[in-house]
Amino acid sequence: MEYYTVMLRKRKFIYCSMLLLSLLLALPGLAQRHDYTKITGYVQDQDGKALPGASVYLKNTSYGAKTDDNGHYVLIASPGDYLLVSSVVGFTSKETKIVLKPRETQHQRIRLQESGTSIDEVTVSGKSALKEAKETAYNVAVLDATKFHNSSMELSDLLNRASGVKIRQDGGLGSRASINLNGFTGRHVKVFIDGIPMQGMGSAFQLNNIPVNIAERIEIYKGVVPIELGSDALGGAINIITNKRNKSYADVSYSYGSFNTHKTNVNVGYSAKNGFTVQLNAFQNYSDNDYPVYTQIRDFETSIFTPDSVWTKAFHNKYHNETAAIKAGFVNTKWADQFLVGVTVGQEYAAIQNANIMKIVYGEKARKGNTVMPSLTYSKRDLFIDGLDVRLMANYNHNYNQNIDTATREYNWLGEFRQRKTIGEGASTMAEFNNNNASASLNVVYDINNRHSLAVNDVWTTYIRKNADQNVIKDEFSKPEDKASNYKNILGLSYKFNYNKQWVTTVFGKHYKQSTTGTVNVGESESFPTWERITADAGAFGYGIATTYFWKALQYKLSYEKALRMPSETEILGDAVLERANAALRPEKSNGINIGVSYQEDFNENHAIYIDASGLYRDVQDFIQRTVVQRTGEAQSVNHGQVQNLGLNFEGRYYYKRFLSAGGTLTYQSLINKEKYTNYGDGQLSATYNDRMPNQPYFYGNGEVEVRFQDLGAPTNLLTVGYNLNYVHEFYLNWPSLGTSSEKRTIDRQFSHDIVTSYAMKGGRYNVTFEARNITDQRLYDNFSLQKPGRSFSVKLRYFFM
Amino acid sequence: MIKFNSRVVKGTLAVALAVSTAACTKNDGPENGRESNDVEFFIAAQESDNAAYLLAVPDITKQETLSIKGQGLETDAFGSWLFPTPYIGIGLKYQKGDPGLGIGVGLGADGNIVQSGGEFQIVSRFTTYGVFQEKVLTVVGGVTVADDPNNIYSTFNFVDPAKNNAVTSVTKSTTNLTGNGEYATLSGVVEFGNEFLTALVPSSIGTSTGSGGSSTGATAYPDSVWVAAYDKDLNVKRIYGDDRISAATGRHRSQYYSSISDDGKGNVYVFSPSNDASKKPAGVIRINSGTSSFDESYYWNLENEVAKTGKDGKLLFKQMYHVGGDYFILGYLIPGTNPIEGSVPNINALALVNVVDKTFKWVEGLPDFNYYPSFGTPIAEDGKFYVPVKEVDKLPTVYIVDSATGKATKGIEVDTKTISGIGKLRKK
Repeated sequence: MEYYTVMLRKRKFIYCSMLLLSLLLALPGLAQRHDYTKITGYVQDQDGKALPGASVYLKNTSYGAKTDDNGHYVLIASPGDYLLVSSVVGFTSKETKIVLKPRETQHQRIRLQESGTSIDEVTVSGKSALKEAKETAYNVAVLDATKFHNSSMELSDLLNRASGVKIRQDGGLGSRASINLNGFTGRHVKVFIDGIPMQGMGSAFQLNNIPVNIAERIEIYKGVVPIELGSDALGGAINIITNKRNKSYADVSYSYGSFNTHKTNVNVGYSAKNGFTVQLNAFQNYSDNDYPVYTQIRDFETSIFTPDSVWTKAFHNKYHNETAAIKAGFVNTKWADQFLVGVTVGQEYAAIQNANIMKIVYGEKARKGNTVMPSLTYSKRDLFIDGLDVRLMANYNHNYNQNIDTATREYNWLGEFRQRKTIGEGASTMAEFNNNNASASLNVVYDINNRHSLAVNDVWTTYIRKNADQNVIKDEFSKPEDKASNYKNILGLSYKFNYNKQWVTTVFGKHYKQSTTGTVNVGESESFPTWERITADAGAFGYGIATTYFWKALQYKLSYEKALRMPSETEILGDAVLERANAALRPEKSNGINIGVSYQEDFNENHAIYIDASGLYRDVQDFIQRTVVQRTGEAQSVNHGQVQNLGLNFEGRYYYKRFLSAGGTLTYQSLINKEKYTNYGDGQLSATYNDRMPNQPYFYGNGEVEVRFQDLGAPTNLLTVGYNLNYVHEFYLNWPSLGTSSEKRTIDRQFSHDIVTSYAMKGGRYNVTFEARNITDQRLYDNFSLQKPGRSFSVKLRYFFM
Repeated sequence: MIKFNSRVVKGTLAVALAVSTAACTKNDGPENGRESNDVEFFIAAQESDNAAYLLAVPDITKQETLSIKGQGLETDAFGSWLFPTPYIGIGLKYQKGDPGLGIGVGLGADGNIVQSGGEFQIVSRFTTYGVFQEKVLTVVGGVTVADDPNNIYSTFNFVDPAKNNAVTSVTKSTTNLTGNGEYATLSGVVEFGNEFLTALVPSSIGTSTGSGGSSTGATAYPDSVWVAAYDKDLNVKRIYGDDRISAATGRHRSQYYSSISDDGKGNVYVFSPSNDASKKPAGVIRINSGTSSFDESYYWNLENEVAKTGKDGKLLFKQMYHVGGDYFILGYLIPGTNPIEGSVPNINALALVNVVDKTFKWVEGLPDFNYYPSFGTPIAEDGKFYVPVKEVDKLPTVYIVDSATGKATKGIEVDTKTISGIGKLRKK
């Protein structure tokens, strides 16, 4: 019944959107394109050599372009007075005053001066290189990753510095990291790498182990997500844009740090004249993670924990991964801007030191995994006709993971052990998980003219999982097989309308379709299971609008989206043992509004500021929740729960010449439980209605100051000293209003400081970086009881050539 | 829908009876406390999968609403509560794949619940538990050991409040206890002199599934019942066997609910719903105090009793509790007219039986079984049976069944998702 209603609504929506589109197309009239002006030209270095990949844009507008391989660009804009800006990595950006007259074609050759060092420009261009992404109508935060290429951080560390984002990590290097994006987490936040969903890419290639050097920038969409990132993300999406260098280059680094941590990254590329290119990105992380921890210790004889915590040291916390991605193909040929075939291979090992409560300690439990992922990328601008851009991406990956718990010993937090008769420190297991994932996406953009543009995006994903645990005792109630498959298709259509140079609007619709197949118990009772393979199909619609308006140094943004998240396979089918199936699950729904304003002003040669403030309101319904039965742990997923989310994000930066930059972000979010009823299908009023959602950081921020000493020691050398602070306000683990307040459990306030000193020589070719993190040695916790490392030091040596 | 897992807390009874007759004196609590009695009822209110709030109330039979807003001791969501002595409640927590945790609590000076003794770690699962010699005993079956992969073992954990909640853990084979090669899952812990009795639920051991794992299947002996007598050192002293009923356990999937209990006079009644493919009807047999075999002269066919009430005789009871004297309560799952989506609770109706008079009657005054109310872990004292009941659209409520009348009355209701435990505690 539900599905038919959806179908009806679906049709209605298609008609409505078509009507809307034709109106929008018809009204402004195609003739108006003739009012537009064309600016073309080349961007070159001081020697007249072409600079590919340089951005050229009109300041405080959305008009912008990138240079092709020959350094050529074409920019179309409406008439007016502008500042033409061009910037590219390694060069000082340049601004030129221009006047555009109607129907004129203007030629502008831009010559850029090479900047003193390659790190130097990064900060300067940091204000502008990210402009394009920032200036879309979407509520997006953009992080410049190149600025951190001398640091030994992972992508997750960098993400943690964005406004509205909190990475919650369980421990040291390689430990589980979950993203909290304005109060949304887990399945609600989707992560992409160059537009490809990272879900299912395997644990050896994830945010908590990928070095920051892989990325050029990270875009964080808070709420409304463009169709290019085709996913059923309720809470927003993160897109990691990797370095795309069309030249030959090498970025090789090694770092060594506290807790016997070694990290290596080899990132090299070769490009021939005919467009043939080979790129290799390989990285390795290793750490003993044997940092001091403050915890209760269990006595072997009595099994009782010490009443108070004591300091000890992690002893079974080793992590390592080795991952390599190689791509080969052609760039900038007649038939393809990019045609790359690649494969990513990776493996990972993690010793498991403790359970989800720190005091439960393990001495031998471990997990390991590996992944193989072939991929294909094809993109072409102006395919067949002018203004038709096509991008096709596909990847397949096979992941293997194993949990190993076969010890016949028990351990305590002092690293001591005692022999035991039974197998397994937790539950004896050698469970193996095999996941096969495939995804393909097609993106077609057609610029009808300079004011109207249409885009279609389709993302298709599928996976098959097979689990097996040889150690588990099977009884007559066990599921006969545990094999499940799922496919999902998300089709997006968007229309972008540039009313004039100041006002840009995008409307879009998304269609979600999913089919899940697996074995479930269709019997009336769990005591007498009747196993049957079922397929559950679901379809749904989402839509939204995003608009932005430029006025002087200000940009205003407003967007709305009705977003959906389809139920996952585990939610529908239940797991092998402890969860019941629920084929009737509906998708989670969210209605969200974002508003934002940003201000960017260069006061004179010396001072520049950037301020961005945004707010979001979200109403989420039909949350999919597991209802758990204590003791047996038996559960089922149901549509239950409603949350209202009000978020405020603030970012501010100040630049003084090239000498100083200082800035920070601040996030406040209020997530309120709006579910009136305690249980699914039950009229009992909830005691926690209108209470703040538990276990969610709601007030946090970070600040940073960087001072740069140019030409120190030698003309092209640069010394950078940076300071970073990280603050998270204390929050409750459980519902705030319940229980005696003095005895409630909290995740304590975090307040930590890092110092990074980097010395770049020969224009950034040779770099040495010293980092001291958490210098005041605070006990830091993102999650209850799970302590993160204390003070640590590292040194990174990096060679960079392009 | 939330389900409860119930187990009779046998050891509580005698002690609780003694306690209840003691005079209640009033104490003046400190500023933020309240006036409180020496003995109060304990309530564990669980609002989420992660947390519960522990409170004490002077009178659980009063029709009032208890709130956990700003009050109650916040703890992990301990799913099971046992009361090995009048002074302490032991909460146990299951964690999938990880060891479980436990705590002890007592009644504080100002009528609040305070932690008592150490916090401890236990093996995660337990298939049955009970009280033996003022200790909590939990047992988990289906354990494989490294040096004997062909047999299946059980792990016994004793939690001793007298020793700061120290845990003693013993792993012993429970394969071939019945002499027919099958593996036994233990169900129920009943103090029997210096020993405890536990029902053996057999299952056949299948072919090994590789590295240490075994599989178990349905029993080849569905028409027999066995009860083992263990001493405190876990030596099997005797095995009681009989063919008049099937295995003595209330079964809900991989859960085993105790269906053996003593009558307060040293006799142990062994109940069996007609388990598995048994041809034996549901019934009761008895082990008399101090004897080493079943009482041949005592047998009661429960199937006939159920049929006499106009219900299907084949209805299975899943849970059984002793209320006092010769009275026992059986928890049944009766097909209702108003099925709920998803899962079905273990039981939705109670019957009061007198094992000596052989009378059977459905308890009146409880929420309509047609709407599948779910029942929590009860306690019993003085011929009264206290049980938390969650009825659709209503707050979880404690019902009190009087064994003299067979009628249930409403007591306190709690503004929370689940009452995960009730009990009685005396100040130290």
